[in-house]
Amino acid sequence: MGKEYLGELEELILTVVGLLQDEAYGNSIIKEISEQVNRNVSLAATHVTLYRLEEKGFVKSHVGGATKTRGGRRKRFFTITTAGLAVLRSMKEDRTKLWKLVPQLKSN
Amino acid sequence: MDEILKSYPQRFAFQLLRWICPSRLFEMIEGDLIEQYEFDAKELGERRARKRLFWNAIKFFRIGIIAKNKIKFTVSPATSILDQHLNFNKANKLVGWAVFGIALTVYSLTVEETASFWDPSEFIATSYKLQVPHPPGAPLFLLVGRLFSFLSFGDNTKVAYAINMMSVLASASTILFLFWSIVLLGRKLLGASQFVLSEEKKWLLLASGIVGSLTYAFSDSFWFSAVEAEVYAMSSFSTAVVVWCILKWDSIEDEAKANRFLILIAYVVGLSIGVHLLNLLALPALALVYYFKKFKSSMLGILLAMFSGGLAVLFVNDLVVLGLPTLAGYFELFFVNSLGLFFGSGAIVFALLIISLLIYGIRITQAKQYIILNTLLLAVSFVLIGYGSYSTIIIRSNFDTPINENAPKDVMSVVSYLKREQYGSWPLLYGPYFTASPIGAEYGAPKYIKGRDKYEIGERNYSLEYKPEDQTIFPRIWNPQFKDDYKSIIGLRSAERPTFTQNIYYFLKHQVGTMYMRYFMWNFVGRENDDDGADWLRPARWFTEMPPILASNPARNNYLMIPFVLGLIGMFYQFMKDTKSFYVLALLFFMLGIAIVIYLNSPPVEPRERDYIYVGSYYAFACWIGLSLLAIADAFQRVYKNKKLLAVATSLIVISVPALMLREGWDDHDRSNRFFSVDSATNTLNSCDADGILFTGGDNDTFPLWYAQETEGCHTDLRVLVLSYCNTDWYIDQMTQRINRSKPFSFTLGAEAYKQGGPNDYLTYADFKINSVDAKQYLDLLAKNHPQLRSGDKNLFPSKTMTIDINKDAVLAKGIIPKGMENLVVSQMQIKFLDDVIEKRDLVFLDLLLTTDWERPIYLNPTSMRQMNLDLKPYAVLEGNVYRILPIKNNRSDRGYLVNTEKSFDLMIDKFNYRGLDDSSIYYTNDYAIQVMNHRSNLNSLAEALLDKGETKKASEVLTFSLSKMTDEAVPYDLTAPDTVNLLFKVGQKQKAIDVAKVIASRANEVASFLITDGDISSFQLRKNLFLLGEMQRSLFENGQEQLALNYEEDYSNLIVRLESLDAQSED
Repeated sequence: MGKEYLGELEELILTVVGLLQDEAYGNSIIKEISEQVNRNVSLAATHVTLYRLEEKGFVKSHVGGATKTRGGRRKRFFTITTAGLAVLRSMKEDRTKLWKLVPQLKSN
Repeated sequence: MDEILKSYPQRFAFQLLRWICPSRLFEMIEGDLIEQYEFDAKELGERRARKRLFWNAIKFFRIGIIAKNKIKFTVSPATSILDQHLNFNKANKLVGWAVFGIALTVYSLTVEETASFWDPSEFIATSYKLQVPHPPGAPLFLLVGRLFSFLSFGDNTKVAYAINMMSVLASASTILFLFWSIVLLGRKLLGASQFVLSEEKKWLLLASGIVGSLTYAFSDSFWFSAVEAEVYAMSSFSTAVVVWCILKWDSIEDEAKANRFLILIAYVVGLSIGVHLLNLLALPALALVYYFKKFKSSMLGILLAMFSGGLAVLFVNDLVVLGLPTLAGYFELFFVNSLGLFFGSGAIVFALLIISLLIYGIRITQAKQYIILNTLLLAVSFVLIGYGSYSTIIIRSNFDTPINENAPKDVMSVVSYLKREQYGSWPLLYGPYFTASPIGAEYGAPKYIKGRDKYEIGERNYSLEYKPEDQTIFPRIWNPQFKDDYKSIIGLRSAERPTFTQNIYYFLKHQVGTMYMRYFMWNFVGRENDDDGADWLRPARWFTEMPPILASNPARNNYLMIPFVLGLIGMFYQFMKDTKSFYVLALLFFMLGIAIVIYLNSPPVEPRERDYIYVGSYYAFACWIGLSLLAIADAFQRVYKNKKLLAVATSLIVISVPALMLREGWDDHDRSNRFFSVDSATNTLNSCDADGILFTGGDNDTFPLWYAQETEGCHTDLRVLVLSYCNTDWYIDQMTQRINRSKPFSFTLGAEAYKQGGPNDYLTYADFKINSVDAKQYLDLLAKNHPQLRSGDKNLFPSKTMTIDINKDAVLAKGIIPKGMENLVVSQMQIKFLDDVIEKRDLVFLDLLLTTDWERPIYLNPTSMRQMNLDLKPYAVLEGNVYRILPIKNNRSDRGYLVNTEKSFDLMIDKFNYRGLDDSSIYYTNDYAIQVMNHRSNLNSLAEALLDKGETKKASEVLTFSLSKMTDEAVPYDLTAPDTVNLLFKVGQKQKAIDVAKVIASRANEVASFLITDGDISSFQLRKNLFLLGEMQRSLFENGQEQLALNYEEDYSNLIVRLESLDAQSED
């Protein structure tokens, strides 16, 4: 597989899926994002991004059991794959490398 | 919670969401939205939460969701490969529809705008009013045709166009399924499991689909049927669907799902019976696909599979299509004749019995889990449901529709209708040579006909018996009617008996060669021209220099053999790579081609070219043309590794082959602006006075008249009678009924006398030494079954002249005698019999002539005039396009017919339509040229009669009219031209006469000279052109143009000398 790139939102959501471990689904992800980085992401955008990540093989999903809340609708849970972790790691390394090359601002 | 989803506008948003969202995702998305709502309701309050719910739902309307639709959402490590597969499926669908669009556009641009010649006129007329066409009928075609006729929105001149568009749509859909079928076959050939397809293979598969399907779309025969209202377009469509279904069935692993395709096939086959039986011939190929999927293959197995496929054809054709109605007939006979119950009771009981048996069978096999038997019973049921369209034939026939051929009103007559009994039978496996004379007749079971309260025995079928030594297995030269043609083909001298080798020679040379291979080559190599019997374009003649009139024939199509060669490559490649599928295609190719040739056992002469019958086998060949691309790519890849080069090479083929066929085929398939099939019909109808009878010969001089009457409502007070149908009792029965605005007729002879198998089917001459007999007296005696006129069970006629006494004053008082012909009225008509045998139809004619007693005008058209066994010529007066029979006698032996000049002038000059006959951009085939020739000839007769009366100026006007309305550029001068030239001289248009003569003579010389060089010395073309040149020379000489005449005489004798030397050579 050639080198894969992730968009900013894709990276954000993939990371959150990673940190939520077995509890990542639509609402929990936007809630986490809102709490951690204070940013509002719509449910629709989250879903679309998740599907895209799934096609790229970075997350996988399974359907949970019936719930008592949310009108009895089931949840689709997402978990990060090895490929997903790998791409996050490689992006982080790239960033770090680049960051080191930027002349650091010095405070007067 | 769910209440919130029921309230507006949230309900609306969720409905939309459900609609655009893939069903697999919907529940979880809905759940997330609801959860968000519950959270918002707590945080922000009910009202704002509702609002946000609405907007959150609406935000899902985005490509990332919509594009996910119908795409499987599975969790698989191979998601990216899966994704590729999905993209290919999408591309496959998209390109398929693009190919469909191209075919649809081309067909729509070239479609016939009105009723075409031959059967389409009949099919349009019978579709429009749901009537009963010639056996074995096409009820589903008529029903769908009726639906399409609604698209004319009340304008009945647009009905034909609307129904033609049905063929356009069916044909474009055929191309769509052909595309998909080729891709499926290609995939199988590549052995590509559905997930692994490299980019260039994807492109190759699509490209092969495009080449194969578009080549077929623009091939001669298929394009021909695609733009007219014939059953072949719809029949091809059902074959295409069936073939695609079986390939699809083959590629589906889940057995339960796959079996549904088998049942769908059964249903389509059942439906297609209501269009044309051709489709059944695809069944053996299906059996083979089934065998390959379900069993380990062996040669014996393959043969057994083909055999059981053949059995399936026999099962549907003989047991279902013909067997069930025949069985119903036995039930009917028992219930009505033996039990004394009402008509139809037996058929009803039989139908209930069959339905109950099927229901019981399906339920029991389901309960016991007999899967194969259950599928089989379901399939039979669906064949029957499809076949059910035939009930409309019986229903409509009982409404006494104006066109009600064979009147299949009850079970008995429906069986005879389905069996096409009117066309007779022919030997297939064992039978006589054409030289055999019968030594006896064997009578079969009696045919029952509906009587007053029970079924009565009508005529019996019989077959002739021959000596064993006069018979052979696989008889091919069998029909004594064509003995001279057989002899000339097999080279038999007059007294000899044909041998089996000659029999086989005829089969290969004529039936396979001329009647199949020639058509096949037309479609994939090219065609010489549109003459009857035109050869395929042999490579040696691709660049032959020829006279412009021959070279510019629109039907001269040169495909440079490319499609043919591609097909062979594909055929070979598939044989090497995917032998099983090759067998399937080869069987399809054979069954829809040569097998039909064997079955039809065609005589040496046919009324028209029959290429359209074999389009099914060309369909199989087109699949090979598509697959050839894979072969070429394969070869390329071995030599060059360059993929770009490969892409360029294949693209070139993809574009150039169909483009070449489109370019070559356009001018002879573009039917736009052509109306003379219908104009000539309305001209003929309008030639007749109110409440008349017009006898016709059938086919092209009749079907367009039916169309004009039934669809456009032209002259519906006129009774059009097909002369040959007047030999049948059902037709005579229909004459005694009112049809449209035409009042009933009465007869001297009753229904019993006209019954089939009765005493008057044919009558032979017995020399009673009587000079003449009074027709009325004679018919009265026949009506009384006079014993002296009976020989065995058939009647006789005692004199070869029938007389009809005329009350001159009464006739003159009716005002039916054309002005100036009063002195020609006779006190007695003397009608001579031209043969020692007359038929029922001659009797019908005499009967009508007597009972109408000059109250209703009686007309004949040229064909029926020729077919009559009575000599009516002396009493026939030409009025427009028809001959009216009147009690006046033509005394001039140098004039063929009397002409009613005043009426003809009014009709032909002022009332007739000649749309587009002066437009050289319109394509006119021979069928049109014949009608134009009739009109030219009738105008010549009119001019001649005007000259006889001394009205030279008017005669001159008629000739100028003829030349300007029907121009040489649009429809080249024909056999009527010598008369036209002669008349031009007589009316004083000397320069015009010379101009026309020069055009004709030099062209005739040029063409004849070319044909002699070509060695084509027995063709009609050569005889015609020699005749024209000779006549022109004579006419010029007689009219004082000696020098020009001498020139042409020299040309003529040169041709004759060359011809004689060729003849001498061939005898050496």
